[in-house]
Amino acid sequence: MVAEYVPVLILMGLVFAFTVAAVLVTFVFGPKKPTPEKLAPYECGIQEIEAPQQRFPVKYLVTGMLFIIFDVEAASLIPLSILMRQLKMTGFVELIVFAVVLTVPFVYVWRKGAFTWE
Amino acid sequence: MSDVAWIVVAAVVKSAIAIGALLTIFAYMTLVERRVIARFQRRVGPNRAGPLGLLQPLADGMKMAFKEQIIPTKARRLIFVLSPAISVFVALIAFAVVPLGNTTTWGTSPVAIAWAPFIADLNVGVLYMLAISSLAVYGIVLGGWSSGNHYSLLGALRSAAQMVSYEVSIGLALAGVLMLSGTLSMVGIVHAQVAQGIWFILAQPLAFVLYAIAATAEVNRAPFDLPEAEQELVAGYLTEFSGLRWSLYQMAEYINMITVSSIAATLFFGGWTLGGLEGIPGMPFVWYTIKVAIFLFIFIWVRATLPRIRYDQLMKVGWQALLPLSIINLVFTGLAVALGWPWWASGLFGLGVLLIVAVVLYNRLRLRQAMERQSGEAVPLALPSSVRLVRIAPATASESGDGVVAAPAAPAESVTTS
Repeated sequence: MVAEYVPVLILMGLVFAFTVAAVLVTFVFGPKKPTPEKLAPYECGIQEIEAPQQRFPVKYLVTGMLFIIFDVEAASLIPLSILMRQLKMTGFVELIVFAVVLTVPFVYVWRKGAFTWE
Repeated sequence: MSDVAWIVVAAVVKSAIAIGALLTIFAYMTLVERRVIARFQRRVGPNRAGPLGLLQPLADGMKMAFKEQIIPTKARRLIFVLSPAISVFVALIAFAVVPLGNTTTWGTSPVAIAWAPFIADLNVGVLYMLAISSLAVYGIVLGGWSSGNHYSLLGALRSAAQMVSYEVSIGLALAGVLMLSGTLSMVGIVHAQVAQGIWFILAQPLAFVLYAIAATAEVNRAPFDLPEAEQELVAGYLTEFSGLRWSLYQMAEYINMITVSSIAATLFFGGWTLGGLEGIPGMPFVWYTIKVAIFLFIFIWVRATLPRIRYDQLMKVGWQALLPLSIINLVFTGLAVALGWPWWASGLFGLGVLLIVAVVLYNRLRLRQAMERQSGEAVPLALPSSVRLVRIAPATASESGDGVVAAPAAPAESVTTS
């Protein structure tokens, strides 16, 4: 069981070595002639008025929360899908229950306008 | 040598080959894309560096490496430097479970399996793929956030919201295939297609269309490349990245394209099989490569053909079209599998739903065109209130005062969100 993952870990190790090398290489080559203007944040040539990393539209957060809800449900559906052939009608009834549980909040958040972006 | 040593050696060799191959394909995909797009636009494209421009990727790589690698003063240095690497790391390790060649004729001894044409046959293969590909959002979000730039931050946020929105649809669309295969292992799914004598595209056409749309959005490709919409966001999360760090992001994007194409080929098009022709030694790998190459070409084709969609449309398509359709597909496939109906039951159902959607969209278009013909001018678009169109009235029409009309009437305090 665990042995199956050994090649994956080896791949991860090699890829890790590659990415570390790639990051280090970025410091080696290339000229280094920094000027204050060059190192300023790109703002179409004008002075930055306020720093970013302050507030951003809450809509993104709402989308993130919706994702967690629906993706967890989708993840729970995967084992059910695998066993569908064995479970037959029992599995289908469970699927229907699941789909209803998924649909009711879906309709609710739709009506609330969570999917409508401006 | 002992079995264990052989298995480790095999894994190292196969991993090294996989990394090398993916990087080479990435390099040449950039060339192929530029050449093909150029042909679509009646240009020639880069053809100076070497015969047919074949040395162009090398030249680009050299140029990127010797560019100045700027780290802005406002950036959070450590995360800024690491986030391109996160993107590439995640993109490369996702490829571990894809079967590249005939696995039915392979031996069963541990050493034989160690040299089989996949890096690992995990019994949770599809789940592994989904899990790893959802990590891709970290590289982009951290990169955009750590840049200390408005454009980068907005691009990163957009990207995050877009990727998570479409991921739900991907998971639900693939669940339909999993019902038919009864296994999560990528190798097992190909074997299930061999055993049932069909490619799952025939039984799951709706799921494939949903997956194709969602996967395009997931890898931020046109027409869903809003995170780097240059008219609005300069280059989105890439704005502050230069030189090799920038090319690492490009690398991640292209490798992700290869990965989603591989998933499509394996789950819907039988992976390395081709109607019995996989018996010829060496050919399964060729069939697999051809299938992935076709998908990669379609990525380029779509980019050359379709204009970028608006952000509110993107969210609408993801949540209000793809998600309900994938649930419908899942429920009907569940019914078909539970009742033991043959594969064409869900196939016909999927085609029927696609047909209905096509008819509805076509009718809407026709209605709109008829209205435009009747009124003689463009029907006002259903724009979100934050989008304001400025129309300069002709000089003769002086009754509208200043001649600038905001349409549709929007409350002035509405904030442009993205």
